[in-house]
Amino acid sequence: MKQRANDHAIAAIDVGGTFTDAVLLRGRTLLTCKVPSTPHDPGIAVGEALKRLGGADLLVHGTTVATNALLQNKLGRVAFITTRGFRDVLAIGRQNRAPADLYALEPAQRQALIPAELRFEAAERLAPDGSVEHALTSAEIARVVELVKAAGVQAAGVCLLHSYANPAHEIALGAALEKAGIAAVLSSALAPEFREYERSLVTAANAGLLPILRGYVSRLQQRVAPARVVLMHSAGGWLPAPIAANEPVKLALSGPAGGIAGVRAALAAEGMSDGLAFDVGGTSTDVARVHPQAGLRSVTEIAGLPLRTPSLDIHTIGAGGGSIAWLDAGGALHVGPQSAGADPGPACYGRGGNLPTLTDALLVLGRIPRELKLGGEMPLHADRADAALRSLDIGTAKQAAESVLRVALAGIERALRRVMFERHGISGLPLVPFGGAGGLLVCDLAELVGSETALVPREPGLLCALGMLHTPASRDLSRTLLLRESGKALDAATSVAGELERRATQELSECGLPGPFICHASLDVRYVGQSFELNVPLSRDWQLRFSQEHELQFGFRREAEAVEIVNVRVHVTAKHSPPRIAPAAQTRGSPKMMGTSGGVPVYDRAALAAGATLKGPAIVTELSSCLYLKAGWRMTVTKSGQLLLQVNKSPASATKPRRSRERKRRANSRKKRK
Amino acid sequence: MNAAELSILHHALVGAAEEMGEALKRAAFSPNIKERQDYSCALFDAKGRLLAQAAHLPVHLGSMPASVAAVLRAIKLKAGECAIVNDPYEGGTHLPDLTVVAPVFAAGTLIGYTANRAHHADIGGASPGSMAPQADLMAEGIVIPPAVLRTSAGALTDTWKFILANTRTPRERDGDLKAQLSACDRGATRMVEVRSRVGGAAFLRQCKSLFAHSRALMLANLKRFRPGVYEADDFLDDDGAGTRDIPIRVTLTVTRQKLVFDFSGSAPQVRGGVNAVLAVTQSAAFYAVLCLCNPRPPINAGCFECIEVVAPDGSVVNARRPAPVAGGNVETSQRIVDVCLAALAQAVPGVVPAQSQGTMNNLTIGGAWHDGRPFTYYETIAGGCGGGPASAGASATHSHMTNTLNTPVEALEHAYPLRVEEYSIREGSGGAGEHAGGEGVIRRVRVLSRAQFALLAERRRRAPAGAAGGTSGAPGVDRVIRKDGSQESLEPKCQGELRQGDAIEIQTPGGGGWG
Repeated sequence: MKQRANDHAIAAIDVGGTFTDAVLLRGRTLLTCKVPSTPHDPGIAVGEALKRLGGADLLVHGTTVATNALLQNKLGRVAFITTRGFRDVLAIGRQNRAPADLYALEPAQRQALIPAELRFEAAERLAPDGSVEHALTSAEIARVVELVKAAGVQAAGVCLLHSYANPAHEIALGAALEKAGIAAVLSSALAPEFREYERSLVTAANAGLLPILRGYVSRLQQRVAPARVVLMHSAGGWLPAPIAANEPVKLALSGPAGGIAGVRAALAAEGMSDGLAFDVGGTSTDVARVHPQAGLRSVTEIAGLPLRTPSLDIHTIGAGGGSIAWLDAGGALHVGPQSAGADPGPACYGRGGNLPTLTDALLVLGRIPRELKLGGEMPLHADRADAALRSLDIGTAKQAAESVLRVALAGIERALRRVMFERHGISGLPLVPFGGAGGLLVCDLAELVGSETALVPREPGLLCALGMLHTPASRDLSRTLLLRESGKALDAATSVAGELERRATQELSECGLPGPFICHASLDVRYVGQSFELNVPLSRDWQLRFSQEHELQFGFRREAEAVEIVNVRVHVTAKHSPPRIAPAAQTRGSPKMMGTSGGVPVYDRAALAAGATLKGPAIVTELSSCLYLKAGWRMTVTKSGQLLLQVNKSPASATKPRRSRERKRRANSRKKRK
Repeated sequence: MNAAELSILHHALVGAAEEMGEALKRAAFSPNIKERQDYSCALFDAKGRLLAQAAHLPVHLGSMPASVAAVLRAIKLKAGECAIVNDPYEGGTHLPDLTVVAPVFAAGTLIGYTANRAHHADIGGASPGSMAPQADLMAEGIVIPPAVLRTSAGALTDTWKFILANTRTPRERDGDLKAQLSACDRGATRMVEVRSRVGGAAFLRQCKSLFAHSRALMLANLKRFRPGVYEADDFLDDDGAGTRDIPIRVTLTVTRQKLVFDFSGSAPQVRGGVNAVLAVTQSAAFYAVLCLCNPRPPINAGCFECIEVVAPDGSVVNARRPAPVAGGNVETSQRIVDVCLAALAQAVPGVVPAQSQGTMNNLTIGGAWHDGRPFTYYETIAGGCGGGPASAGASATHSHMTNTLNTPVEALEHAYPLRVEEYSIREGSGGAGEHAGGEGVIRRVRVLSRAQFALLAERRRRAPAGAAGGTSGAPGVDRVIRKDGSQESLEPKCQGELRQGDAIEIQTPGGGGWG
């Protein structure tokens, strides 16, 4: 592998719905480019972008190929093999109807992923401790493999009961399948954690994605050669292509992972490590907590399927810039989930949409300057936005716009509180908007969740791709142990963690990564009898840490109760030095106003020098986004060129910041209603 | 009140109820709460009117307000105090459902209540799991009238000790109850925050507007209901104590302003434990109406103002103390939904599907491990949903009044001396039609040590009916398979002994076909 820093070039490419964004770092020089996406084969745009940037040694790639295949239920033809008696485990699921269907006259049938005729049973049975109650004979293996072969499948998933405790039967079946030329996905290798439906589902999904992702990755490899391809995975790191292509289910959140990495890097540049990220898109808003110990959750939900694979805790709600505001028959105002999308789009796009959206409200309120051209090209039609908001018939266009904004904020606040739930008293974390529209709402949202700081990164449109440059290779592995506390429990866990760590480092090394590797081992722990686990670091005092964590989260602990280790997890990261990017050309002097919007001064971000400060209300615009700095806030351009927002603390308000902000907010909204 | 404030308050209050649910689920001990999610959380105003409820179980719709009302009648709660109740005749539903209620104070002023209810896996009585057929309420478990559970100083009262002393699994109960307290506190904190944003007077005014809004949406929905008087009836298989074919009748009167469900003509209360208290009957009627609403009104006291439920005192749908009620909540409630939907189908033609499985298939297994440690396991089992005008019925899915999850087999076998031998779709059990009924489920569990079981199930004799020409689904079938291979078929409500190596097999009903 080439390791000379001077000519080593790393590219990061993120595929979005409309554009494929690419950045390339050669030495300390950053190049960027944007090409139209090619949805029928996203790799074409990736290849094109890389060619324009002059090629690279390493390509970090965020892909939605796996996500889309799951959303559209377009998986390969694959078989599923399980223990006798459990052929329908995928079809029965957790036996509930989707929460949205609680009052549905006709609740939807859950997706089984693999049809009944491709689901097979093997006569075998393990006990919960892994001991064999019914041996899997070689005759039985031969019988099952014969059936699978006859079904003409591209791959097979194997999930046997209690295989997390003893993988022997799965390994035997897997070997026979591979020998017969059928790629096998073993649950005991992919996700050896208890709860058979979730493990079966992730195994089946992985098998179904296997033919698709193997094809995509190998075509992409050829297209971008000699660049080495690595893929962003759901847990926020990247995996070398050979591993990623075998575990495609771990790429389900490959796309958003780059954005979170970008937010993490943005925070780090200001010496911060913990924040609340949110991305207000056209039809939905993603929110996530960002902090150094990853904050992973064990389940990713895609298309209503609970996929048990470690992932960033991203929560999505159906309200974004294009969401349509409407009144229900009882007179309450709602924003979304219907969206005007990109076409016709909000009324102010002037493309024939005449329903009021959040974007229209922001324009009417002057938060988006009326002279702004979208993407530097498309003019906005303020008169159409006015008319659309007046059509709601809840006062003047301004009053209606204010109402639409407040309702949208209430929905996003609810989502933010959900990701904040993890810990008591985590209010006060800085908010970090990424993507286009977040900057317009950031001050309000910070006030609503009790934060006094916010950070607006550079180039919000390229943040996903930039984030990938900051991302190390990482591998997350786990195994269920289900061992009660005893002298032996910690030893057993340590030994499992050692095995997992060896496997992870070996696999990464085999893909050409030189190391060194950093391993973080942790335990999922619960009181015996509970069924929700808390994650604590693997250490001598794990029991103490668990009871502390339990008290922190739930307000009580139970000293007398036995605890048990449920899962052992390792998070192995390749050592990675953050890229050093030459700072953008600096402007000098004090900020100059470009004009005003609704009486609020407007500034051009490109013209703001490091160290410059502004007091709200003010608007800062750039090509791909807009920031609205509310009254009561001030903004500083940091050395790294980011915008740091803070609540103004005058001596009078320092004693009672909440109350005074609250008064100010109400005074403001009164003013606006007049 | 302006259009935005309605939505903003709704988001804030439902968000608070959801946070309560999350706190309860995460901190609770029993699989029943954590894995199966058999619980509900809600917020009430200072008069005990329902403000918001997180979407959990429909069976708790009308009965949570009843619990809060009972507590308010009995106790004047001080700040920091918490009360508990499970007495079905004083705000409860059936004994395993323990409801915890806490007042919410802001600067010394009572502003409302938070409440949550969880189904506990054992609350004493004659049989493990407290869900077996019994002769009276006292045999079903301990009866807890509204009582203080935590003092204003934060100390647990003697009620706590008393409850733990009367259950087979006190440690699990202790953990679950602490989780319930924690959830109430979480809800209270959020409610105080929400109120402080707008101020006390505005909060009161906005809460009133929430009720008015929900009522207005309900009235808007009623415009699609054809005014008139509609009748429907159906039958429970039996009560497990000798009474068969127990009629449930409803006369629905639809006007532009109101729906009246009158259950006169339903059977008198019965000896076996399938009696429903009025709160359960109300929940079932409310649920059926909500199914027909589009758009659906937010669930609060306002949306139920135009629904009246009349049920004769001392009947199977409004029982008197001390009639046993374990199955009223889980089984009779499903039949009440069936008759309400059948009546509503006449008022709103062309949308109501064929009948779903109409039971929850309650199975309890309790006994001791080889070393003498006791265990109690309770589950409900999904079946087929009815086919409808738009689609085939969902298979292996819980319908109507419940939506509890299954316990994963790998979790169950780790926690109890049980082996699940089969868990599959019951092929051919769904009714035929243009849109077939969903299939039921086969579940066979073998015991590794001596145990008792209790079964509480319905739709074993009378099948879930088809609609619009579709045929009915297959009724359920239950049996014990002894270690030597011999079989004994089971009554729908029964209890019995299992020796080591014996198995019990439940085949749940399929849904009716449509068209």
